[in-house]
Amino acid sequence: MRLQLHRIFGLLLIACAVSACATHTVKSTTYTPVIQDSQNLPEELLLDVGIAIFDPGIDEIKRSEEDTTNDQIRVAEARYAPFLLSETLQRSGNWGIVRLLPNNSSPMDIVIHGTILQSNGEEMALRITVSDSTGREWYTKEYDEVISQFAYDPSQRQQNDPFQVIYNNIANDLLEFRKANIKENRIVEIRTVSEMLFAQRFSPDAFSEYLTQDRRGYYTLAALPADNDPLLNRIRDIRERDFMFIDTVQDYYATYTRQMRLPYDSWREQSYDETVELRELRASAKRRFLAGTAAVLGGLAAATNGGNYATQTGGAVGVGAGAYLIKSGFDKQAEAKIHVEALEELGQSLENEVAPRVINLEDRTITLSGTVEEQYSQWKEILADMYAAELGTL
Amino acid sequence: MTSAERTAVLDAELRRGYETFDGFILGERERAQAESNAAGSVSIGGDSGAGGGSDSPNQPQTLPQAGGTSQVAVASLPSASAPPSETFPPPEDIPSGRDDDVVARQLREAAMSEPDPELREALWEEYRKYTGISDSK
Repeated sequence: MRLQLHRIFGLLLIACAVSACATHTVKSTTYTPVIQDSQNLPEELLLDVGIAIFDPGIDEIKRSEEDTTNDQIRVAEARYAPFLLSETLQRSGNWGIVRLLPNNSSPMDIVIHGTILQSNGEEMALRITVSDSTGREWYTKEYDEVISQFAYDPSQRQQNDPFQVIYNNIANDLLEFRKANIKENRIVEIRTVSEMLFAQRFSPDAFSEYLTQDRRGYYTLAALPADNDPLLNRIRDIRERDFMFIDTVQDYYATYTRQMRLPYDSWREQSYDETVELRELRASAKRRFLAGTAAVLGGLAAATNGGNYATQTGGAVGVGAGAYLIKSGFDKQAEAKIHVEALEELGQSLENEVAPRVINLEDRTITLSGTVEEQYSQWKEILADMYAAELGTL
Repeated sequence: MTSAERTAVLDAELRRGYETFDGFILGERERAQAESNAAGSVSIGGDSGAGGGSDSPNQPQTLPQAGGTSQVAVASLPSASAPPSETFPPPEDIPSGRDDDVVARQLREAAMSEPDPELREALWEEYRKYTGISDSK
């Protein structure tokens, strides 16, 4: 009998301990700075970096996070985050020009594609894929950063984005990979392939023989035009102008980022608090349900199978305590719902702020791209005529 | 017409296209940078935010027809490797930079990005002298 009573109280104790036990998330408080390459590469060996607009990752949102994730904010972040990455890479001084690409028409030495896997103010997770102009993928890596409230301290925010560390880590990995794997002759090859791809875009007849593409889609240099080839020099003039077009689009993105920063940071800070509360309440509710159910089941077994009054009474107490824990689990769930609603409201408010800005950004970029493409078409025709004139077929 | 003559004609056509394009892009960049600076000085409360989408000042200019009569000099253009930084609007007497040649353009860009007001004014003075604005006054 004493053994059975011990079991019941033991079960209750475990249930209480389980329900009180809290999960802890490890938060990063260390700041990883951007590493600057100690080896000063000459300018002709600096690789230019293009960053595509990120995939907002809407298809990859987990079912459990659907009610706290706002699609429109993700779309806005898909333009905001790569711009911050481009600024980080540019500041590192390890690369040539670093630009957010308005489309995939302009070949760059290195192209970075990203997908947003998580972004809620407390955590940011990105999947980054890096490849070069020859078509070879360098690597794909996932980055996950959970920050502390300190990152939203006004003194910190003036200096850096709360998730600046994630951009620094991406920049440092990119540098490390280049240093470990890409030798100088390969850098020259990548840069030449980029130039030849651009040349092919404007004068396919004249430059098609210089590149071959294998079954895997990788480009290899088959030959090189003379460095003083007049047609190549004209292509270089046009490429300078293509960079100017891309620079203009950077100015659009800079405006967009500046406009978005304050409301977005404010949303992230509030979202941080709500997300932390929500996670703790959900975990607490889950623990209470588990512990309560265990106590009820144990108590019921004791109450029905108990051989005497004491064990039956102990069982009944266990059932009562378990029922209380289950009820408190429902209470925690109701509290969590309030935070979900708060997150939805916050998201809606930011969506109203940023969605028109995204539309404006896209409209301007598309309009400018269209205008520029019209000019490019005329240049392509002129270059085709020039090539024909050189061959004597015009 | 010989092949060389034909190439020369096409080259001239290409250069005219560059001039038109350069003037267009520089004008658009100047406008975009001014907007970016303005956005940088706007606080949450000061900017109504929503609805900023389709105001006409935000619409890009249209590129004039190729072969137009733009007077912008042909120049190798900066690829602007630095990230967009704060710029300062030109003084009132400074005209739009559409007719600037490469030197004037560099003076203009240096002046617009110079945070020190004295140095900035000195650069604008150089710009005035170079472009002949001060002579015409």
